[in-house]
Amino acid sequence: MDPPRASSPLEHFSLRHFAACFDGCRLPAAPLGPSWQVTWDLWERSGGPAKIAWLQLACAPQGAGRRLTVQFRKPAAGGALAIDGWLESAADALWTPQRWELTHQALGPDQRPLPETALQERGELRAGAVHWTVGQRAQVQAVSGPLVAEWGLFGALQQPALTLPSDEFWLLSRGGRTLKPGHRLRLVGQPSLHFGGRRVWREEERKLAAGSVYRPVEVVEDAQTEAFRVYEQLGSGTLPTCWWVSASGHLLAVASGLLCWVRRPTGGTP
Amino acid sequence: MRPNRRRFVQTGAAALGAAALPRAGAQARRPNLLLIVCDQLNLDGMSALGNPHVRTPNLDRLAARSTLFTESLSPNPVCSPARSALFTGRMPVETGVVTNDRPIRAGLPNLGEWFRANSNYTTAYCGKWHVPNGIFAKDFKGFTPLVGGGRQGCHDDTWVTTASEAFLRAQARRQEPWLLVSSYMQPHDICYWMIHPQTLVSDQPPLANLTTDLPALPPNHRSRPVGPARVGNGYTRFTTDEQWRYYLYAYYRMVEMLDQDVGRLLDALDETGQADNTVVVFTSDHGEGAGRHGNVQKWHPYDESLKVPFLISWPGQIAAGKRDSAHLVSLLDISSTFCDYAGLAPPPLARGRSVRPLAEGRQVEWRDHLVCEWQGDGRIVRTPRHKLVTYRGDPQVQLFDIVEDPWETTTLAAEARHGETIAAHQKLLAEWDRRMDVCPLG
Repeated sequence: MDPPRASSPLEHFSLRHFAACFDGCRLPAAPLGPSWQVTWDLWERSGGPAKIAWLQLACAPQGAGRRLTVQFRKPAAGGALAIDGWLESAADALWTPQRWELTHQALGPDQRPLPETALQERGELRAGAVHWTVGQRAQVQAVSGPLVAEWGLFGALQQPALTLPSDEFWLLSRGGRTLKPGHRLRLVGQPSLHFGGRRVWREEERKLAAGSVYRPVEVVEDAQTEAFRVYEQLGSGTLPTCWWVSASGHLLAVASGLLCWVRRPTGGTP
Repeated sequence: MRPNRRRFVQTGAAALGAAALPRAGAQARRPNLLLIVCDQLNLDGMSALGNPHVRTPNLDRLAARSTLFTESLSPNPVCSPARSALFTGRMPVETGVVTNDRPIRAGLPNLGEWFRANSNYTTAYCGKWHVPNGIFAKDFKGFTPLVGGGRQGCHDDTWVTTASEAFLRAQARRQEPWLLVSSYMQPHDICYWMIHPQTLVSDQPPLANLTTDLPALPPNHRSRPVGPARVGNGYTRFTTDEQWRYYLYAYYRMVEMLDQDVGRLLDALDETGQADNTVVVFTSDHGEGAGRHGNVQKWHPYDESLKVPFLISWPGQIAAGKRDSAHLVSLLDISSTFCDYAGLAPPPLARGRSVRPLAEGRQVEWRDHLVCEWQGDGRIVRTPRHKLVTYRGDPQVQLFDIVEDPWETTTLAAEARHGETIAAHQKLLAEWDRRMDVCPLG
């Protein structure tokens, strides 16, 4: 019996808008260890594909849980925007955030911080409520279910043997600052995907009676075939989002509407 | 009710004169002014107005502390023309911005320039501009641009909020009043669902688990009233009802993204202790087709495209939680309203009026009609009861009884008994056109 055919990103609704963004993409063969550092580029497809931001997460064990160090950069009109900080999470399936501290900062064209633009956000999950200090203001917001951090999911879903809880959860959106209720996450497929590689031009020979002729053709070299787990996330204030995690536990892509995070090949530098 | 030109002219002139007078207490510190403008939000795109398909706790919170005008119109339901009118108080035919991406006519001050020339207000702007030249101007007159914003609301709006928050915190330590415009992209991202339908909208609902969450189609989804040929230009059809419903689902999620940003902005206003001394206006440049009349996006003369939210709040000064459906208001009025609160006369020939007396519950004579533009030579005349849709050179017109037929499913234009109403509206339009200082287009 033939093995299941590997499909291309163009064949999947969540990825077909971003098929071109996987050029050059490659996942490492070895699974992640307990400590790791990975960078994802954020692509947008309102027109042709364009990288608009990047996110680097460094994970390290901390007690029974993990600590994610966050670095995010986004060019913007007249400068750039930055988020730096950390999130500490529990050791449960979706890495429930316990504490976090993030600094939001606008940078000028020279990448130096602009005055009066830094904002520090500190949060803690305690007794079913998020205790938040943003700038000078402290507030408490009750959450009526589990809490999941969007950036924490980048780590949690990379666990090789993951059993998803079925409960709806509250989502701490990227960069914190907002809580979105009524989110669901479920495994919706385990396809095999043929992706990445390099586009190169080759000469193709065509043999004729009088001899051979050659023409240039574009081919993809070094494309990779991997089995994936695909998780679908639905909930308020978020477009349907699909998380593509390889069977070996590498998060390749997070696709949602016009945006897709795509893992940068190992060794890529921000 | 038949429109009454004489009443309009009298009250309009009185308003201009009154706003030009120095107000009592002019030496006292004026309120701060925060304009939150979004892009492509329907009037009923918030749960406070009963929409069951969207959850907008922060817009609802703002509505609860605001007077909300429900007869609020965009002067021209396209981004740049509407924004040119919002920021100058002049109609798009006067600003020269009759289509997207055209610059505002030279010599017409925008709101920021007017404030800088005539007041001690600090003026700042963050996010989408789109008049003139480019969506995100980095250096334009009248405002200090804040770093933030980008082409996609789904990712970039959060930075508009972050920059606006930083501005609010910095201003809290200063004495001068400020005027801040926080200009969001959402829910405009939905435009890309039509630009890339082959990849963003599937033949079937793309995610099986969504089916029970998809909004129902609007009751006028299949209505196609006869009208000027251009009315049909905006029709775009998906193949299946499920595609339409998925489109609506995505639209409302974008509205919720906007809602979260508005919430952060309101929190920052509270946190910095400035909420009690800040007039907040929330609006949109135009609406969204949302499947009504089979439409997406804007451009068309129906209410889904034309009507926008218009909320104004000032704790203790403006009635909270009030719905005003008795007065026709426009984006044109925002410039004059802010001038009124700042103690300034509005810019010369401003077509709008300050809504301050309406918001503060004072009796005032108000306009009884408004004219809007659409697709270049299209015109819409709105009176309290009726709406006439015309297009220059096209003999076909539409007349809707907005009270009896709010979904605009039946045009009355072919019925002889409405001939007098049509003529009265056409007369109003001719008089309006005569008053316009039309910008010659290069």
